[in-house]
Amino acid sequence: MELEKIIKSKHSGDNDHLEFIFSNDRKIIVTAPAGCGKTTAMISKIARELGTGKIPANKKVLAMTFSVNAAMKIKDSLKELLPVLVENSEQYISKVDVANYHNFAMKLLFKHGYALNKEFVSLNDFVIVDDRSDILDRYITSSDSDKLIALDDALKASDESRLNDVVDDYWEILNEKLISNHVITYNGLLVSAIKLLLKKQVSNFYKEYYRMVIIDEFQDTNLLGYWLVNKLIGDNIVIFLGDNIQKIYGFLGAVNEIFEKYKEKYPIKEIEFHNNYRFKNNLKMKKLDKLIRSYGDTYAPSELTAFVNLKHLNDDSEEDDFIVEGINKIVGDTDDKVAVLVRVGNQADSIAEKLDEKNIKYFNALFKETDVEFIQFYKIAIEEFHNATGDSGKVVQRDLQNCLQAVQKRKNEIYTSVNRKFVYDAMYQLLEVLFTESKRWEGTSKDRYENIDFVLCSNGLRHMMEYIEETVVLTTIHASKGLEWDYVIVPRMNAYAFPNSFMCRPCRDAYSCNYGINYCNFTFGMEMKKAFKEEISVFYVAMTRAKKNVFLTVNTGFNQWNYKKQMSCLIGLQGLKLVDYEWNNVIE
Amino acid sequence: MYISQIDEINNYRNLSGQTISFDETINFFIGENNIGKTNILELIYIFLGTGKFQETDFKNVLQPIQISITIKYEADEIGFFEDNFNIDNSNSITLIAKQESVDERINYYHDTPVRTKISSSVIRKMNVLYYYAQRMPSKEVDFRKSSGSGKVLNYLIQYSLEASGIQEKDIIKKTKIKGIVSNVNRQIRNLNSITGDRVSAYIDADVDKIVCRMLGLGDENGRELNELGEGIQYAFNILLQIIEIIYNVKMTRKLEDFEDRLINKNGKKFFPLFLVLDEPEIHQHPYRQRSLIKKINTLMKNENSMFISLLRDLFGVDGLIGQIFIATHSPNILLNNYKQFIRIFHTIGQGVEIVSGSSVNLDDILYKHLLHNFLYLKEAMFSKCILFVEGDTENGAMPVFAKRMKLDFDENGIGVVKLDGADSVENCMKLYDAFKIKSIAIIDKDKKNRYAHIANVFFTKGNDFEEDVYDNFTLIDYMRYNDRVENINAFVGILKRYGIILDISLFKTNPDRLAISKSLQQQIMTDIKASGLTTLRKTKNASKATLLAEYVTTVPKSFQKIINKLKAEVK
Repeated sequence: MELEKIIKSKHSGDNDHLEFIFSNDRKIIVTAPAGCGKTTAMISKIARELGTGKIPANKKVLAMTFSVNAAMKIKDSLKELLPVLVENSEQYISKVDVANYHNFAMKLLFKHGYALNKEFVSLNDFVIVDDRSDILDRYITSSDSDKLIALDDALKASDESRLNDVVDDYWEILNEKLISNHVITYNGLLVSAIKLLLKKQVSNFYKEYYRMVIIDEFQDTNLLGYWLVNKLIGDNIVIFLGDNIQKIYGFLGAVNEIFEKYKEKYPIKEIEFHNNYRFKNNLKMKKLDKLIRSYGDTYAPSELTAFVNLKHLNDDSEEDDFIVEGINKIVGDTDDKVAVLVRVGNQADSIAEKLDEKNIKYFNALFKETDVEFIQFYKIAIEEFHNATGDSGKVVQRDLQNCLQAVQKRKNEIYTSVNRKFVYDAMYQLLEVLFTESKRWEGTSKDRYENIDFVLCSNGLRHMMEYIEETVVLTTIHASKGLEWDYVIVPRMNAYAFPNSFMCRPCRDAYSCNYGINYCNFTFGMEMKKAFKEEISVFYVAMTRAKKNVFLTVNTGFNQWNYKKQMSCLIGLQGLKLVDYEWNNVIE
Repeated sequence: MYISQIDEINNYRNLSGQTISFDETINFFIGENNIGKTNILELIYIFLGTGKFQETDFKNVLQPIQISITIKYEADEIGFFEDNFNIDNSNSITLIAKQESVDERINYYHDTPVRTKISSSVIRKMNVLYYYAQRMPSKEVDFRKSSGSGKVLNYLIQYSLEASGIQEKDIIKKTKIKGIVSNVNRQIRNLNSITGDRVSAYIDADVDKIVCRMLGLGDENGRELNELGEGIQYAFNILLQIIEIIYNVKMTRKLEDFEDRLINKNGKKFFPLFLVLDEPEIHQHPYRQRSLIKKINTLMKNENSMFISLLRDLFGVDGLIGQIFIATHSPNILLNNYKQFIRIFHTIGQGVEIVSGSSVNLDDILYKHLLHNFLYLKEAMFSKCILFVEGDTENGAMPVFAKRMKLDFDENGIGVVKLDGADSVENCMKLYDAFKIKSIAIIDKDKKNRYAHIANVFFTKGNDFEEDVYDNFTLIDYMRYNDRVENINAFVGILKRYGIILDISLFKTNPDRLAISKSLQQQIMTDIKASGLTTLRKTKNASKATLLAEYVTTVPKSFQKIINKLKAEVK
């Protein structure tokens, strides 16, 4: 078979990939650390199953993931990689539905939600908020609010029995007080979708319709996401992809019974990817990757070693200057792109100022998904996009121009204070980039419409950061997930900064670290396990965003209370060898 | 996949307000001329095929036409309508077809509060063939035609040529023909010089076109198809039409798009097809009618291996999947399952009424019992009113009695059906009752206590037909009857006993001349009744009963009552 040959040659040498792609098992778990070619393997697997007729006419593949970036990445990869594998790639691409959980839930509710509550027909107009949002106070009592928060807490704690206890009350509040007022919570979207899927006819349909379900980033899923996925699993092919098998099982351990039921019903194949492609030719980064991963796997000092670039400066101003110097060099001497990734948005404010002073252009993405400007922008962009295209479901150039103009006209609805204007500017720029990129996409004007709609409805503009012209990007580590730059700079590697105070404070109280004047040594106390794992995975994300090299900076000057700042425990971990550097030496 | 029900009709011809449910495989529309059978067929065709209502379809031109249809399908077909389905049944979808005005086209929606738009290209994936008698088969079934069935024939030729590798030079010797062509062109040039045109003859470059012109289509005697009866053409043409539809869908698309329109079941690929036939019995001999319908049925059920291998060869398709709708006037076309019948009729004051056999619920045991009788009962489905009789004798006699009472059964749509034994009377009447066809029955008196409780069942006055008839004969008429059946000689002896001399030849010429008083006639009839009944009962058959009915002096009261009831029913 032609396709088989192509795939075999593409993944030649990687037996894990090949085992996965050509496996006929119907339930597979794949653990693939970042950089192991997970997405490439996933696309080849999709091509193989589609190519061998496992997905008959009228049926589809569902690729579901937790984060918007991952969903975008899969969509992009489909467009990029499938044409190499098969001739009629457009047809294949149309058979794959990509969504993140909330997106999928919304689609489901929009289409069939009327069976639960007639108001779902107007779901597009709903305001979507957090369980703790003030907006809810207009419609619910304080005890209602407690119930909503109880579910959110149960979710965060992965406590399934508690979740079971509170979910019915949660639904009642949604159904009786919120939905009729066109308000719903993020968790509520999932809860409602799950309720809908409890109807046998509905879950029956989707189990038949999606002959292959791929769950990516499974370790990031929360219990609600899990319950949702569960309703889609039947006789179809189901593939779980995740970062860390321990994490997956540990997480699933919380829902142990259900997972055990799967094992009884279906034999589950477990496959692990071992080859790291990202740092194939970069031994240094490979070792760094491995080291930090080992801290994620085992909660103890590691036996491995790796080098990392660290510049130790005297105070914030020096640190900022140093960073700006590096940026300047990269911008001036190379064609490379650089990102400054911070643990918390405000940590880059002073760097931004300095860049402004030096007239160095940068893209400021230091905002959060919960920022009002972020939410408003999407609301308005989606509205204007739908207005510009009308009912046609297709989009032409003129519609995009009209949409941009309309959004511009409404910018005062998006930001109110002048120091938040940057959020609007950044998002507007990303919107422009999206529209420009869309011209290059293959497919019909209908495809274009659907893809743009997808990006907007899943709040995926961040993904467009990959395509902006700016060589320099300032953003949070969280927002950088799924993205890549040539160089990455991570500043403020201080205690109470990174890790942030949510960890450092309790850590000190629990005596889980030894600290001196300017350093911190983590001692792996049992109470800090969860927090540490979280911070180390954030650290891991930061470290794995760079294609060429990553540069850490820290200063042990005085903080606002006149105490010397300490170096983060993360850079003090055993096995991590700190290497001083000068820009001239490290930027080619 | 099949249409399970037309739920609602608004503003379409004479069918507004009707609901019709369908059988999964095949449906027969039964009803009088001009009642609306064709309207339903065309509705299905417009919904699935043309996508546009014409001005004449609008009952009120200023109002939109809106039709609601429910389609059911199996697990393999889930996803045909993308992710649209009825919330209470994942294996069904209710579609609304709405056309706002005469100038627009139909817009399709899923019937939910969201009213999701369904693209007409999805509807078009359900292929429909509408075949009616007015299509001129002779014009279509011709190798030389490049449209219609001719296209398929062309395709068959192309296909074979490809497989055979024959080339042009194998078929014609171009060099030899060249001379003819130039001669012809010389003559044509003369014509051209008159008109100023530049037309000329040429040898076609395409081998398949050459072969097409060489081939004729006809019977084993070389008689061309369009000289043969229309019946042969009609039947053959339906098959070619089916093939043509598949051909069109395949050739106008990329291979993967064609494959996408097929339905996968158990690793096989089926072409979805709805077959709509109007009066397929036209031009067909009754045997051919029965044979045709059975063939079409097995075809659609993919039980005809030759057709399947044809489909596989030509298109890579393993069969058809779909539903058949037939409007017919012929009992020979009906199959044996009452659930497949749909009766359309007029009720005074209520306009058009429709009864779908698929909604009729009779006892299953009953149903199996009835199947046994079906040969007789199918024709009755076309009746306005039915008379059930017990035996051959009544079967032959009733029409004669009726004619005597000035009621023509045929003219009034009254069917006489012989029961397969009196036991089946209740079940049969229930069946027709379900289809709202009024029925009455007449049964021998000796079975009265068993059946008296059933409505509309009546009984002979005497023990049976023979006794009722006998009791209504005068002696003279009885003798005339016996003369007719060549039994008159027996009466010589009988009359002698009463001192009457019977001159047979005289009687034959003028029976009324025989002078016997009324009372004596009555007396004699009473005396010989026992032996008379014995004789009559010895050979019970319809032809004898017909004669009895013709000769009996008066129509027996029990039968008069029946006929009067029938008269009242059809007024």
